[in-house]
Amino acid sequence: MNKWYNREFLLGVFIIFFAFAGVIFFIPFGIVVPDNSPQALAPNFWPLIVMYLVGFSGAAISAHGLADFLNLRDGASSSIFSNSSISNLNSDNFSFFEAMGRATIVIIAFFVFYLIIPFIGIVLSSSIMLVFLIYFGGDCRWQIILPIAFLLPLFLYLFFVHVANVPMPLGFFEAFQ
Amino acid sequence: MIENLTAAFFLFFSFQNIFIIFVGVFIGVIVGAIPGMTTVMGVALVLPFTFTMEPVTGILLLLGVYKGGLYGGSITAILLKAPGTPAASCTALDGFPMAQRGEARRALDMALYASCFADFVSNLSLIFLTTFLAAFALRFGPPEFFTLIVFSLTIIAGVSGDRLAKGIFSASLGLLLATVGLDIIYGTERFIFGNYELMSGLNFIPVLIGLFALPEIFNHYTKKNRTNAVVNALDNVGVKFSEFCSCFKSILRGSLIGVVLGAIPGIGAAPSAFLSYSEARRNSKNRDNFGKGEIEGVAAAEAGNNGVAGSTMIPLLALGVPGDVTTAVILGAFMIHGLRPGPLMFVENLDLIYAIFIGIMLSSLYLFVIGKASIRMISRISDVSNNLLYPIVLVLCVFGAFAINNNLFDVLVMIVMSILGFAFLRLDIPAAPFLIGFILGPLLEDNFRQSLLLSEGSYEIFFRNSICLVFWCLTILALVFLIRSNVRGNKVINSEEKGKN
Repeated sequence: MNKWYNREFLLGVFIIFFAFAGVIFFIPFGIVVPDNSPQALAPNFWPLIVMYLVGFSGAAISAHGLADFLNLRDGASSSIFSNSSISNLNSDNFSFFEAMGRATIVIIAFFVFYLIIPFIGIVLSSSIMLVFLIYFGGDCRWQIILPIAFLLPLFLYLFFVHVANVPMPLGFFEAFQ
Repeated sequence: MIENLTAAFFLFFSFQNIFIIFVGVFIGVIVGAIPGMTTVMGVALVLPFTFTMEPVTGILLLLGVYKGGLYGGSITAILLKAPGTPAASCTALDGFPMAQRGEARRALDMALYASCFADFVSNLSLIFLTTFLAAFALRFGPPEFFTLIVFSLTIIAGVSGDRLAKGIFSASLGLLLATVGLDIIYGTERFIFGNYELMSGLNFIPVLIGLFALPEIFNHYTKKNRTNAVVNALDNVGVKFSEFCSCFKSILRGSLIGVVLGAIPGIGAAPSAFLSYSEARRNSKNRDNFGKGEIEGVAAAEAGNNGVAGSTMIPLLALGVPGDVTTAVILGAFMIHGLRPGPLMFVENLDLIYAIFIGIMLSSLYLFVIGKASIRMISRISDVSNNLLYPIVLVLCVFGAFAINNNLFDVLVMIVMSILGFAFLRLDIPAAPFLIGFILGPLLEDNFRQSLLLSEGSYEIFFRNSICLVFWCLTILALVFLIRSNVRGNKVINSEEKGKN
């Protein structure tokens, strides 16, 4: 269990570094401040306050993690984790790396889905995504997968285009319109 | 008065008017229930159909869509954790855990009852308190707004539970992302980094879908045993009368919060829902269950959400000032029909206003009927296998996110937010404070800076009148209460630990 408490501490440290990077890099380079603007009205005033708040919360999370780590070492149990985080560790789940690998595959598939929409259109890309996700989820009933994968995007396309009057990207299919 | 009422009845009572409100509420519920489709979009879509209608008929159609949309957002929030509207994200906090426990029917029932009651209270306030509330709302300037939002931010502690430091981090990140775009005073770039798509800031809908719905879908694929979390949702009984009674105080409080906040232009339903939720949590004996599937949380959130439905019409009808984007579209409908809302309308078109009031009251009844019918049909979604349902929801979210601005960039925003949301889920960081920060952030900053512009840099403006002082006192009281309950909670935990050892 020790590594989980270290993770809490490391999360806090990461947040502090993020806040530090925000103050010295993101805000100076990301916000254009006009000359002669009073401090409280300057466009960077509010983001600076928020960034300090981020840093403060990071310090609090680190301190919390460290305190729990020390308590644990002294033999006391900890209350920092809610049920949700503990439930992530139960036996119904894959190992951490397997679970993260599977989530990464879904996220990458999502990015690929997004990237191919301009080329093959939202209908066909949605169909491919549906087939992949349902199959990856463990459902192999093709008599269900195929009708859903092809009819649902078509229905959504027709709804948005003809009922909601929202044009949808069709990719190379636009040439056939 | 009697003459005007009689004229209003003659103006209102036609099959067309009675039917059109039904159609409006029905469309609104459907639009609200589709992630990505907002109430504003629904009202805007229906607007062209009103051009050829009588003014009363057209306006009632739009009002029906508006009211249906406010409730409809809660359906997918409860069943799929994919809120149809920003305000419904508060309903998801307790509604979705209830659905996961197989109590979707109870959550949907309570959401409907609370919505209808709050809608009814809001309509009454519109009819009887228009003049008073419009005058009160006019007293709100930037400093009053600022103090109100500061008070509203105490909700963060409420929704963070025992993870306050992480809640503050989450809210700060929300506040930070809300600053992306062009500066409101100087028009200079903030965190745009050369990407012109970011100039108008990040849209609410992709952010909240990405943060709430999609992480659940990613997480679904990390589990070996992917059976439905929702089990036989329809087999469970709905809300009992005694349960409604036990939540009544929170529903009434939420309705009144909605009425007051709805009457103030520019606030909207989301802060009202979160404030109502926070107050319910603060006053409930089941406060520890909030966020874990507490039915009172669903009731409070929905009451706050729908409590604004009638009262947002107050500044519109009494002053000609739209309270939010949806009422701005409705103002457009008034003008298309040659009507100019404001004090003069109460003199020149009183019969029309009364006819609208009658229609609005009828819409509450329709909301109940349509909601009750739709619960039976829609809660069948819970019976669909998650292996099929989640991919379908993901594709629906992509269509919805694209449809907001006809722009793939919103889909990209949704994906990025979903990765952030997934990280939050795995690291046990609460996502709700992020959303609160993201929604309230622009209001907080704009009013803070506008106040300082007004006072030429003097901070005394934030204590200028009784409204500001009341909100400061409420903020301090809320913080004291939170610190006390945290200290008590820690003492209980420590004593339990000592007992175990």
